[in-house]
Amino acid sequence: VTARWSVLAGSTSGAAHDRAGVSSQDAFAVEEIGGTLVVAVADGAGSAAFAATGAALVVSLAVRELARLLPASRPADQAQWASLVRAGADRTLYRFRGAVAGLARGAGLQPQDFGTTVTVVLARVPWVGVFAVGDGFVVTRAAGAGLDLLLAPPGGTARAPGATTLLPGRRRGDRTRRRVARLPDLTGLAVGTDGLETLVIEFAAACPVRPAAEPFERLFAMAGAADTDDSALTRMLAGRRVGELSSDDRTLVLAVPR
Amino acid sequence: MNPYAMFDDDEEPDDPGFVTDTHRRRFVALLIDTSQSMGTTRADGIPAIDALNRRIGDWLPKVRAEGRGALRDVEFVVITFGAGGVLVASGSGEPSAEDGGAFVPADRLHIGELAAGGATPMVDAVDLALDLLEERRQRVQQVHGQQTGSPRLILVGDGEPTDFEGNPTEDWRRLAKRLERARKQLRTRLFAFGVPGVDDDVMRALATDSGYFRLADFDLKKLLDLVLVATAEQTDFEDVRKLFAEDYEL
Repeated sequence: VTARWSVLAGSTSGAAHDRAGVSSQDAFAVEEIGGTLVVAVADGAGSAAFAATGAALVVSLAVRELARLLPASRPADQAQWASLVRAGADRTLYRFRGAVAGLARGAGLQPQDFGTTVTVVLARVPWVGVFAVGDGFVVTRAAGAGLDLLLAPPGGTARAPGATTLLPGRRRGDRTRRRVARLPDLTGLAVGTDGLETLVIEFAAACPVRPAAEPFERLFAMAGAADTDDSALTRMLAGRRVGELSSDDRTLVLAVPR
Repeated sequence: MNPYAMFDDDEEPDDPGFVTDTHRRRFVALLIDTSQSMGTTRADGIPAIDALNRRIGDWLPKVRAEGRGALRDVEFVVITFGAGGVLVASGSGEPSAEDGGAFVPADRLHIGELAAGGATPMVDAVDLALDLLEERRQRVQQVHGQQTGSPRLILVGDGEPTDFEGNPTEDWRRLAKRLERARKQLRTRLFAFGVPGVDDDVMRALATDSGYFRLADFDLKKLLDLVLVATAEQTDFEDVRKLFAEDYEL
């Protein structure tokens, strides 16, 4: 729980990695910085030897860089939020590229050995900003407007497995996706990795069309309830039912304004 | 308090109503060497083909169980090469990509008793698998309007490729080029498992160094477990390599 948000997060490794003797390569970080909620979620690439390190590194760098940016930035309109999101993305990705280049040099590795996706959300009602590289997703809930896919999984289920964009990219830009939305009646945020996308997002003709109403109603209720155990979401994600439906690592962060 | 108690099977959390009908159909071709050497080589103290049949009998229930969960979008086609030439051992037994043909969903996979004999027409078997995978992919996309993931081939071999008469063939060089194109254009993945007696050079040429796994012995149970791991969508070559690095020559 932060000053303004009730947050519930869960993360677990998938059966495919369990069978292969590999621990989860997902990572997440949550922090409220000067009234702005920052959520960072990363999914280390299965093909990268030190993906879990890359994922943990990028979420911590995202929070650190935004902690430096936010105190000096009081965005009040769409353009200023877009500017903040762009600066946050540029600085996070720049720091990540530098950090993994240093790690790789010291260990005789390649920067791509730390390959990961990242999805970062900044929220201060009524504004929500997102930057992402790779296939994470962001769902918002607003009174009246209902659920919305603020950031949809790219390419839908037609995407070839493992065919997402990864950090560190080979050049600046890294094909970052950015979003800014004004949601005065925001009542919930969800940020997840691709291991959950087919369980909580409805697809039509293989394209993501909307968040699934039933699971999000229950999930946001869990996040908003005062008596929800901190481990409840991890228990759910590690449960038999979810394991039957997804063999990938799974991470979800839910936030509800208090 | 037992810190692991919260993950006890008896405390399965409620299903909040997750979406279960999202499909990206995936096609997996399992190619099994049934040449004469599988009848003469021994595994578990019996002919390798008998041991393989026994192990497949133990393995199929696991596949069918996962076919109701994580492998629910997977269709298998099983092709043998050796006794009888190149044969389809799944579904209708016919080399057809039509509905009700060679492809069967993982939860309904059955493989009949395999027999050993004859030459090692591996190249023809892989060519047939590639043809069927592509036909099935197009049919599912165009007729059923469903999207498909990248095709996957899992090849188990114990010898060098021959033609149908048992003469050594260099036709695998052409096949290697076809596979290379499939890797680039369709993201096709070939996991090749060589058991003792296999021609390493050929298998590497077909599967690349990353996709080739040389087994040190005839441990067929582990081999089939490995095949199941290689079937999962999220599993890549490195995952398989990590899992079996201590047991096999890699």
